[in-house]
Amino acid sequence: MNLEHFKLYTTDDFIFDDDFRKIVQESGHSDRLKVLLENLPEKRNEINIAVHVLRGLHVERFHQPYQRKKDLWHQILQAQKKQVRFMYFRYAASLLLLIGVGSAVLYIAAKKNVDKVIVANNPPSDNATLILADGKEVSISSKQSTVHFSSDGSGIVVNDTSGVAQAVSNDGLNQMIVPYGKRSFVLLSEGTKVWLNSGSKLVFPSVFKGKTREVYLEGEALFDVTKNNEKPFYVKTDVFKMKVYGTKFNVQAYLQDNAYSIVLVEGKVSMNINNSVQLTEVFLAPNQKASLTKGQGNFEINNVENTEIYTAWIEGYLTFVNEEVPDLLKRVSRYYNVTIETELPDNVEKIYGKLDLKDDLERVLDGIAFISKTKYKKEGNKYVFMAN
Amino acid sequence: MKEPKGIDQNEVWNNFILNGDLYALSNIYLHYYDLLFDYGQRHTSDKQLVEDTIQNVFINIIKFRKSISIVKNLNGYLISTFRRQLFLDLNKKKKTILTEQLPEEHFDYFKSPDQDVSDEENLGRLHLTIKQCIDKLTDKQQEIIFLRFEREISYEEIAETLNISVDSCYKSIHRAIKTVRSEAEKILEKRGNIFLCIWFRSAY
Repeated sequence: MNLEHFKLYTTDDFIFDDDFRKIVQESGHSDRLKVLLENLPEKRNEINIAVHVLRGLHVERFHQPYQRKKDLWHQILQAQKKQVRFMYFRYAASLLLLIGVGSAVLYIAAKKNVDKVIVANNPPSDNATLILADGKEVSISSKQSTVHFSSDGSGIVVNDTSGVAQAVSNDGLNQMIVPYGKRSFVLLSEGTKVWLNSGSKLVFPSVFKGKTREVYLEGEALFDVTKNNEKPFYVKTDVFKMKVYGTKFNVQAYLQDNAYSIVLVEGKVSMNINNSVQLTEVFLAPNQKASLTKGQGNFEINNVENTEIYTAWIEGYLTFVNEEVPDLLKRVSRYYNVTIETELPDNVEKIYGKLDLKDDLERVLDGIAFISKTKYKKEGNKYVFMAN
Repeated sequence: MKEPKGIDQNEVWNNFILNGDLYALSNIYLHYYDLLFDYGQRHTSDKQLVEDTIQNVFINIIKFRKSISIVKNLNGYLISTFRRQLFLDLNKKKKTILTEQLPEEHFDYFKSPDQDVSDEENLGRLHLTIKQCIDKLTDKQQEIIFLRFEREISYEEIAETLNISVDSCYKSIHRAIKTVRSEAEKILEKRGNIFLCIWFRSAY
């Protein structure tokens, strides 16, 4: 035991010293205390008082019998098994629902053959809507929808089962509008795959006839673009336009957000800000993220370790790394189409994790509150997060 | 905390977090149970509620495993997570039961499983003075001293757990200990050093 530093100690220093406390509190250490007293005669009084204070502060512990603890642990394991079974049933039920919705589309479309095909009686704004070039509107009530355009652009398959036909000669544009709370997948006629996130709109032709392939995006989408060097693919947003060289990337361009971003998974893209005086293109390499704040003239390029964080939403997961709680809640509010307000202090820690968006909203919010050590309450139709 | 030799609880915890090994978690559960059980009972006399809260904490830990990061100090993590859950459960219970039956809610430093020992008449004069000093402190001050001295939780973690700044946590405990110490000094000065010898014989 090194005693040197004890020589300058006051009584309080002894009380607050971790080693000294251990010597006093742990049984079987009275020998060490004796050594201390013998070697520091001048500190006898201080040590004496410190020992009494610490001993006076010591309290007996409450404890459970070992068997009781074991029983309680087994109760947790039992609860765990029930949980797994419950999840299994939940997934089975959602599969049935999808099949049900699909056949309803087919049934109504076949029987009435009207321009407007409405799958369910929900108000149209709650459903994903496909507005076709010829003016037909297809309303899709399922939470996750798919729309496939056949290679000649005339056949359209909604949710894998129901077919809609339109004339190809039409040069107009199709629009896929996905409201908050819904997500959609669109397969374009030339094979490009587009996953549309909640609150997004994609405008595209049935077939790309000119020298380029151009689509317009509002919101968030993951593109997997079919390579075709003779017909470059362009994605336009309200603030920038990007050229794509056969590639996979995620674009965030919500009009109401001031921050736009592009994350490249593979391939190569270049961006140009609309009406920019600067004519030079900005190129992006895989695992890079370009961010743009509305009104600013430049993209900021950063490396991202894991692009999965930005694309996990297509699988129904929300992954977040070092994310501010209010930003995460903004994303969650879009997925579920609910209002979430925050009354959080600035010092709330950034959080890491993965949420299953197939879960009920409150389950997801419980998870966020648990991880971020915050709490929330429901006020009418909105949720309010606050410090715990 | 007295750790059994050769087992690093943080490593066991990481094994659960990374692999979902429930056997690893059962070790954590059994190892830390009494720490939480004791801490909870200093907040409320509702023993059943404390038991339920511990269950809730571990059920949540399993449920949200993938979202929980590896922690530096498991002691501090479990204590702060448990405390939060305890107050959530207490508030829930308050809403559902009659006011007369409200579980009390305060921090009782000197609560003891063996009621006879804490009986004030049986305490020595000095011990009683210390107890009276502590009883006069706010619940939060008592809790800080308890966590720091009795459970070896760091100032940073106490500050996080109690939602106060590290600085005020530090000042608060130093002020409190100064009071306790000077009271103890007054008594011991009158008696001289014999007290320590008596203590040596009676302590172990």
